[in-house]
Amino acid sequence: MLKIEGLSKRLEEKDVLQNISFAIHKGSITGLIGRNGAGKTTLIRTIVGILEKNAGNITIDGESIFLNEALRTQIVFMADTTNFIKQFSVKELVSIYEHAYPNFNKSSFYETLEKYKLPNTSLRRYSKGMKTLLYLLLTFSTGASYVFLDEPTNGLDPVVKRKVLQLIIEYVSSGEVGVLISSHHLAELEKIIDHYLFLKDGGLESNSSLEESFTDYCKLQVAYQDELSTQFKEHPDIFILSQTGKVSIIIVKKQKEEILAQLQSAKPLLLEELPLTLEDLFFLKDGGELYV
Amino acid sequence: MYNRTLWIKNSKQSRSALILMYLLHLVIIPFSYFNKSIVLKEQLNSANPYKGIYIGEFSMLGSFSAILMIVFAILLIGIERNSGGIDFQFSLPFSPKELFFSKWIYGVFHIIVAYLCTFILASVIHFTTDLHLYIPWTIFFKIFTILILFSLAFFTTSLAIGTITGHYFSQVLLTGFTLISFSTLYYSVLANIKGLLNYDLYYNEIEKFLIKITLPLSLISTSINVDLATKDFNIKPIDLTNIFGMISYIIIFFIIGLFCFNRKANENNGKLFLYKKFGYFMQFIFIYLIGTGIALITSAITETSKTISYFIGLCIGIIVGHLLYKGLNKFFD
Repeated sequence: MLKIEGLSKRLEEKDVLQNISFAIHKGSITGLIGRNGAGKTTLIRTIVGILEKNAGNITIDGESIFLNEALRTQIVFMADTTNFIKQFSVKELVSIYEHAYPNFNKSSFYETLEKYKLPNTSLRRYSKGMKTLLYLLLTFSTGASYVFLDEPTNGLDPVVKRKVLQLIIEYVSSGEVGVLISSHHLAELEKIIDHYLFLKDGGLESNSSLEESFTDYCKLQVAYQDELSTQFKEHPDIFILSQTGKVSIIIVKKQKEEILAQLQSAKPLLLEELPLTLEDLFFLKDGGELYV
Repeated sequence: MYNRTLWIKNSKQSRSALILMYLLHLVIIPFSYFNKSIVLKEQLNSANPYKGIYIGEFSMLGSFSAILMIVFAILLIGIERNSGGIDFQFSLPFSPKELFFSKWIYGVFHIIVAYLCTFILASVIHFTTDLHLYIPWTIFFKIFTILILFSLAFFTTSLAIGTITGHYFSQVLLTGFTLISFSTLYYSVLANIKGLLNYDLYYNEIEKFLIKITLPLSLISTSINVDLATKDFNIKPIDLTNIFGMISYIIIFFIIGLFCFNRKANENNGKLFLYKKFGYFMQFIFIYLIGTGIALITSAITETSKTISYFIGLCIGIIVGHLLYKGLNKFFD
């Protein structure tokens, strides 16, 4: 298990990360979500060693990676851009990775390369999608136990996106790898993650499993003759996701049965439960203005 | 010490500088030195009463190397701050010290190999032509010692500057300034004392010392003048202060580079300087030097009171320097 304890990072007199603690388990995919500037990229860059932390510790199976540098071979990072790797050929990249990561699985890499029909040439002949797939293949072939992916599906077409997600699931399903993935594409993230971390203003607003959140919260579409009464609008356990005319979409945070009964007793024109999505949770956790 | 991953990465990044460097060392300089044997024959057969040749190939090699060393350092450390390469390498399981050391040792290796090749080729040309009759081979040791130390000092300084600057533009400017900084700052202080207080200061020993530790001036000792009639050759003797100066540059900047790279100040990549406080310091130096430069120009072109025109020039210069720096900072922010 990779454990992050009290991680803090200060950039230009501003606390960009404040006392962040969470864990990543092998065989699970954790989604890192939050608004632009919330600190997602800074968090990943600090964990993988690009930025120096101001406080906190990172341990793998109880051992600090700052005290035992060799443990860093258990962590691998895939950046959100393929700009840097495009100057190399596949062979050179394999050489770079296999000499950096002692557990690099060369044969498995070439097998998968063939499976996804990626040419073993210079990357100049690669499209953006092919470069991303190759980068992902290299990342997972390192044999590292904890993989950090920063917006891996950015700018990809739906077909490549699906391949990328499929590849991530394939590797994680082996149970040998734990993944932290940062993305703004919540709909696709929802399909693959087990846990999610919600970052807000440098702090960890939420750290829970997707299943748990979907059970805890309830999304409802309600419509009344007049608009939603103030009793519900100001209810601490009701979050209004959107309001269009008489129709409101709300999320009930606690006391689901009790609030449902209250809504029912107010004689609604419409009251139905809708499937909750990660995007709904995003708005709920962000607590921003409602959208209409 | 050596890691293939970092070696491959470094060689890919700096390929163009290496091609130019080996072209200069293996083709241009040996060919130019060989041409000197033809010039030698022409001189011996000419009716000119003074028969002599000037061998400037080695100081030329040093001058071109200086530019190449800066390009080499930029390709190894400056460009990657703008291409995402820094993120890639810092995320690999190597310590920042290992990363910096790998770049430095990679550069040192190629510099030494390139000079060694030039030394061998120059020696072969030397002994297979008439040049050996007029120029003793042993002075090659002196010339190549100076050239190697000079290139290593230039490379190490530029590489270390790349760990302080966030952009290759500021890396080039700051490297250029650092190499002449002692003399520039010394003479600017004297100029301001003279301009504002009308008081002349002159310290001969300090100036001599500053010239010796100003890196680009080391190349003066690598040119040879040969009088063919007397077989006398004229080359400046090795100056120990100069040698010590170059070694000091290598040691001091290597340590600075290791220390700064280890701080992982990667959040300001793309900006002029990685460290805010250092940026303020450089802003002060920049404004001060622009101010002094403009003050010197205004006092030189006016015929009225030198002190007043110097002071006015200094004030204008400070404002211009401030605006220029502000503009630069904004551009790279």
